[in-house]
Amino acid sequence: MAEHTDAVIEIKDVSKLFGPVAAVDGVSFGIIRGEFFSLLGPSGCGKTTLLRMLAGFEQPSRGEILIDGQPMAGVPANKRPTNMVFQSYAIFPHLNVEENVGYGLRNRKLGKGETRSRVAAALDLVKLSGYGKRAAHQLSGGQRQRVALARALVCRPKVLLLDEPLGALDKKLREEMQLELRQLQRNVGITFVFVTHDQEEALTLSDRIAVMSSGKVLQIARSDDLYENPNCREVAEFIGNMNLFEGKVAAVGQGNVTIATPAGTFTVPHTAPIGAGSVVHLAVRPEKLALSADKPATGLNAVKGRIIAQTYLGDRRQFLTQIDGMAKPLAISRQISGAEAQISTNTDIWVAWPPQLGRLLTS
Amino acid sequence: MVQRRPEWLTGYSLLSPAIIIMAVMMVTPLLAMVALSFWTQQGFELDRSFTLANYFALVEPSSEPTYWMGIPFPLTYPVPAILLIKSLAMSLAITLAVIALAYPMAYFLAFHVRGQKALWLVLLTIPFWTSYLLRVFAWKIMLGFNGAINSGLKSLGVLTEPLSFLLYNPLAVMITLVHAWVAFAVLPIFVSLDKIDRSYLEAATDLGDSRLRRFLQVTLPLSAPGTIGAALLVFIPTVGDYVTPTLVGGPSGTMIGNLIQELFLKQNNAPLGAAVSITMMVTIGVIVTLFLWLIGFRRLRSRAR
Repeated sequence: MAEHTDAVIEIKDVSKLFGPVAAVDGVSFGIIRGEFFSLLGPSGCGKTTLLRMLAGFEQPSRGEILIDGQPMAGVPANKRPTNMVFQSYAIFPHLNVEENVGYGLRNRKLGKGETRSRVAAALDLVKLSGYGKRAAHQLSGGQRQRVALARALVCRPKVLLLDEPLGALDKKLREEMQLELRQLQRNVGITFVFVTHDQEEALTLSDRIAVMSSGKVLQIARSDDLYENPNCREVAEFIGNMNLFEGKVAAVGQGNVTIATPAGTFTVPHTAPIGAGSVVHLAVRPEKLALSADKPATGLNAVKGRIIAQTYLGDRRQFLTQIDGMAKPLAISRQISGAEAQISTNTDIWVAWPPQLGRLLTS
Repeated sequence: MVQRRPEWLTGYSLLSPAIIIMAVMMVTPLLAMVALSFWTQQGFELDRSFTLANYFALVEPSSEPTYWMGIPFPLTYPVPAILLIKSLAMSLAITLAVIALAYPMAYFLAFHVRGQKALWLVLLTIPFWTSYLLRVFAWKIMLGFNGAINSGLKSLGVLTEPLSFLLYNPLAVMITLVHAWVAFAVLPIFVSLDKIDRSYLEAATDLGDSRLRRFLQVTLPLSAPGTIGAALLVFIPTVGDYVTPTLVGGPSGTMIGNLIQELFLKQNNAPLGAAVSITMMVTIGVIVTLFLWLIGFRRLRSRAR
């Protein structure tokens, strides 16, 4: 694979068994030097186990991990060119900020002056200059997070591993830290491997995302690609909101197929070979759907329904529309500009979308 | 609005049972002891006029020093001073031995036992299901002239004559006291090790520490509060112990507690006994305070939070 040419991490068919349970199940991919890479998935999907195998805290049951071309089998955690930011930050409570940040440097034969200037530079990097003498227990959550970052970065690792580092922060601070983290990663140019269960966070931060579920990698893609072109139902439902129509392929056309669903017949782009009659899903995002009182023009996929609920979300309004023949109501998200017509609940309405905005999911 | 009781009052009322017990059972006898040490024994009567004579007797200089372990004691009545120093030295050795034995046990319990910790803690207390006296006697049987160790070694042909240095000396006292106190030390050390967040250890490894370095730099400092607690728990009571030296110490294993007992019960000089007791208590207090000050306990305590 071309993307492996400058892979700083290569994961080759790695599995991790805990008793009979495979926490990580035959995973293979590469992480490119200098990228911000996220492992995204629900809790228990194996993302943290995979990260801990990169750090050296767990050994793969099968398969091989290479960091910078070197096989990591038998290399203990303290000898790996990785550093980690722990979920709990793990700021040593018996050391002050400076001593915490300089901890990893004490294991290297650096001069006193060199150590001091690197610690100062690292504190500067995370905007904590002047906090060096603070005791660990005097720090707020966000400051602890910065200390943990500085402590890992000061060692200049080839790869920085981050285990849900923003999970413990409140929403506002988390959003601030996301921006800073992204900025920081660009500045230092170190490869970041970031574990999170928060899909929004992964989309905001990452160059590429690996979506994991039950120990397997479902899809690896850029944020926008992942959102626009999920490769299976699980990814489609995990990333953002998604409306799904289950149906059968009725006709295969030129670059598109027509599928018959209980709610109607719709057209969706598709190029790969597919047999008529296969059971598939049509996926379409809430914000791609338009509402209208009158029947829309031909050429659009359209379906008639009834508004059963609407939620005001500040910048947009979400409508839930019950469609005959569908178990789950359709979600439609509409930007609020102030000019659009009010739609009241319990009115009949047409939902329509251009065929090219739908996606066909075969698995 | 409901008038709420001030917080300090609630706090003190919750503490009051403990405060009452402390006042009745500890402070009062202690004050009585202090008072006693300023009085004089006159035959069977107590002369209740205030005097510092008892304390003066403990430090009264003499031109002919008495030697103990090569140390000169230029005192007229050197026995209390010698026994106090000897007891402190023995207790220090006992404390160090107890910590050396208890720390690995607590470490094993905290880091290598999974799921069965409660069972192990119960197992640790099994020796305490018999009385302290029985355990001391057990050591007498172990170490005695015809005891388990000597007869065992003789029947194995290792010895022809029994070893006489096992019992009735300071070493026998120290072995017995170490055994008696080691389980008490395991608990506080275990607690302080067990509550160390495992991510600290992983972080230390991640930052390049070897296992030894991680132990010295992270595990040991973070378990210091419990370890210091355990050391004090052993050191303070063993200085004044008199049962063990009475039973296994012999003449050379005598400690300060034996002298106090002797003064109160045999020599019928309770005021002097009280003065020796108070001196011992103050000495221990000063040593403990100095020790805590030296290791920077204030700093440790703030870190433990």
